[in-house]
Amino acid sequence: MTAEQPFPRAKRGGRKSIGGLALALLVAAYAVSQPQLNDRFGWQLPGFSSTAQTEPSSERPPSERPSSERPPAVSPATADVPSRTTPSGAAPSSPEPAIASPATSNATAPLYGLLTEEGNERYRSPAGLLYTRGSQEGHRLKHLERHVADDPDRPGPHGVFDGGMPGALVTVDAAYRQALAGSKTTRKDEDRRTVYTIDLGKRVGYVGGSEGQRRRNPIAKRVRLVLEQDRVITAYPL
Amino acid sequence: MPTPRHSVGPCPSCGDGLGGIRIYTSPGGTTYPLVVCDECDAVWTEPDLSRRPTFPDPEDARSPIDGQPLWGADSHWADLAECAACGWLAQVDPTLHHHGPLPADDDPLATPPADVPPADVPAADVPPADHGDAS
Repeated sequence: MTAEQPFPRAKRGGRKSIGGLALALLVAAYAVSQPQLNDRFGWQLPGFSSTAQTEPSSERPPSERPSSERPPAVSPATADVPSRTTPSGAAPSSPEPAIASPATSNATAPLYGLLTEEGNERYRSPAGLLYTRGSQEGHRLKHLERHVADDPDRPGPHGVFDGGMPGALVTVDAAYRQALAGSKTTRKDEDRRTVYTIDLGKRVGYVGGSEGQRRRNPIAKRVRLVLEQDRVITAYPL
Repeated sequence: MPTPRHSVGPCPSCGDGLGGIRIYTSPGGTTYPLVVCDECDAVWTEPDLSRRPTFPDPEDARSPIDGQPLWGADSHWADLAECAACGWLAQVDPTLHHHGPLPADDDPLATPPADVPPADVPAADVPPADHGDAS
């Protein structure tokens, strides 16, 4: 019997090799398909590289995640934006201090690297949207700031944009362009107002507020945009 | 405080906004309530969101009753006693209550405070309250 031992051992070793090869192939297939699956279905499958740690987790509300796990800016266009970044490189979720007083900002430098001041505290976005005084916060940009951070105590849903104010402005512009093109957009008109709901087909933020918290902060791929002509009344992800 | 304490429902116009009850003090000292969406500024003069709202000037929003600023210093989000005093308590959606600095008895799901006036008190008799939340 002892003379027969090497053969079965070799056979077992062969099985291990085949099993290891199959496992390696599965791992490789997963690594290749994981980003596509996440992007296509909005899943949050973990990856193997260090980027997996920077992807938002669906298991914890974003408000509880460390800054290194906060979602990045939503569009490559934000690379042109001189946005603040945390030491980890993640985009900030807190409002930009510059908008605390739009009227006192440098008139020659675009606000958030995007908005051109037209006087009288009016700011024009690259897509043509106008942010003016108004709202409970005193300025529509200040109101938009409410939607770059969660408000978990707020009753109902509260849409939160990824990427801080620069990310929000870029996303709103992208939504507006898509709405004008009529692509994946629903439109409701009421008096002077137009309410667009635009499906951008990728993550632009998440649903916060008490309802979002109850639903474990699902990702948001759509934007609701309330306009009066080109004036922004409000915009938020949903 | 940017979030209404008591709302009659989600805003049917914009979707995510809250139709919050807001109390206004006229120059003569009388008060009246409005339902105002904290998201899109839509205004209702009655606590019935199925009615058509009015949309104020986006850059200079004003009350449709007396023309005072919609978000001025002479207005604030109503507390529970004020909702009762203006006769709109029955229209408050208790699931949309936002807990602010007031004690927990402001929660409509709890027993209303004993000093809540009866619901048939005219809105003009609601005493003005200084909550310091006007913007």
